[in-house]
Amino acid sequence: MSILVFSALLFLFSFLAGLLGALTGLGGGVVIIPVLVLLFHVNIHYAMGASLISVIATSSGTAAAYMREGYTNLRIGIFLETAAVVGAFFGALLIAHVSKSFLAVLFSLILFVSAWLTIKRKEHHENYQTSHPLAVALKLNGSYPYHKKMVDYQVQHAPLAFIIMGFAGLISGLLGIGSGALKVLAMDQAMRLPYKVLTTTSNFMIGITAAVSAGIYFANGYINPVIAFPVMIGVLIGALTGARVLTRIHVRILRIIFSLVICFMGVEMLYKTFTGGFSA
Amino acid sequence: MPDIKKMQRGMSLILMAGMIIAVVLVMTGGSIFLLLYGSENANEEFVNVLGYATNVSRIFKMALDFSPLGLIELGLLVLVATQIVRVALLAGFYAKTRDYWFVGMSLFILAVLIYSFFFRK
Repeated sequence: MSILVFSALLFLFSFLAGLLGALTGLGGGVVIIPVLVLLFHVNIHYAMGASLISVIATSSGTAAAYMREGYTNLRIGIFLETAAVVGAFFGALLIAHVSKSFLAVLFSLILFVSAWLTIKRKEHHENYQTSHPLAVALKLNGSYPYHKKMVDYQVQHAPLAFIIMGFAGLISGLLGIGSGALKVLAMDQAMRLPYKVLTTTSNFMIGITAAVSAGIYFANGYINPVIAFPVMIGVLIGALTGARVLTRIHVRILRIIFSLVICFMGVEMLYKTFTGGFSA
Repeated sequence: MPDIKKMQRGMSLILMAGMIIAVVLVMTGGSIFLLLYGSENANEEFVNVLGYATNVSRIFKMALDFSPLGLIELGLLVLVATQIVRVALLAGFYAKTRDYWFVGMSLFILAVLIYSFFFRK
């Protein structure tokens, strides 16, 4: 295969990954890494580097649009990001000290967890009248536009969300993904934020978390420009397209199909690991 | 609060600008790369022979020499730098509104970002 064909195929699959990632809220990273590793036989470190870059591009591209709509809660973003950057920094440093097989197995597990969290996610929960004391002290609660008026919301379990976010950062740095599923878990299950607020705030944070790991990825040579460039452009265009058609399709069914697909990829990654595919 | 609206608009602009500059650099480098090496065989040794930079000053040097991989990497670097700028903007915003807890948190995030940006093995 020539470099030209290779790059074109990478672009095409990255576009699809970005599109599906945006439509399901899982992000492109969790799909593009197994595609690169299993289909194109790319070194898993390079696959993680290319994915990390595409995560930053996607977050920047979509956050630019979301910022103006008034859903993003910047105070919650900053508060939780404080934990995420520490996790991301150590996660990225850790890569050099673990084997590729370990990364592949951990990645498979994250695929299963992401699929599970995505399938069982509920988008409505009860209204709360009060917030956690820490959230009150930091004035984390806010309001968001809903049916043309501003609706107030409260913030629960702030310390728990902070801890989950540190872990999400660690996983993001260690695997080169946005950890969107874990970030949503912190803000959905722990903080109990409205759906639109948590997805846009998570998206706001993902780029910053990934940028922390990116510095270390560059230094270690994990970001290979030959792989990263078609992937970044592909995922970015896919994600921006996905964000546009999001309102017009049935997301729930798509989410279940997508979750099954990433479970299948997880199994394939495990198979490759245990048949010695990552021994190099 | 009109102030926060202004800041949100500013951040949106920074993100857009950073992304466009990054995409232009990456596309330029990528196109030159494909023109020069598109017909070569895609194997791992080939990529390793070409070589690419792993720190900021080397990336700048390569990009100034119009090395295609250097241009791509500079684009990727711009993308990362955009994140630093947007956190700096937030720190400035909270300083202006005298929200010192949030100034502290933003500065902490900024410090980690900058440290890792210039990180060398």
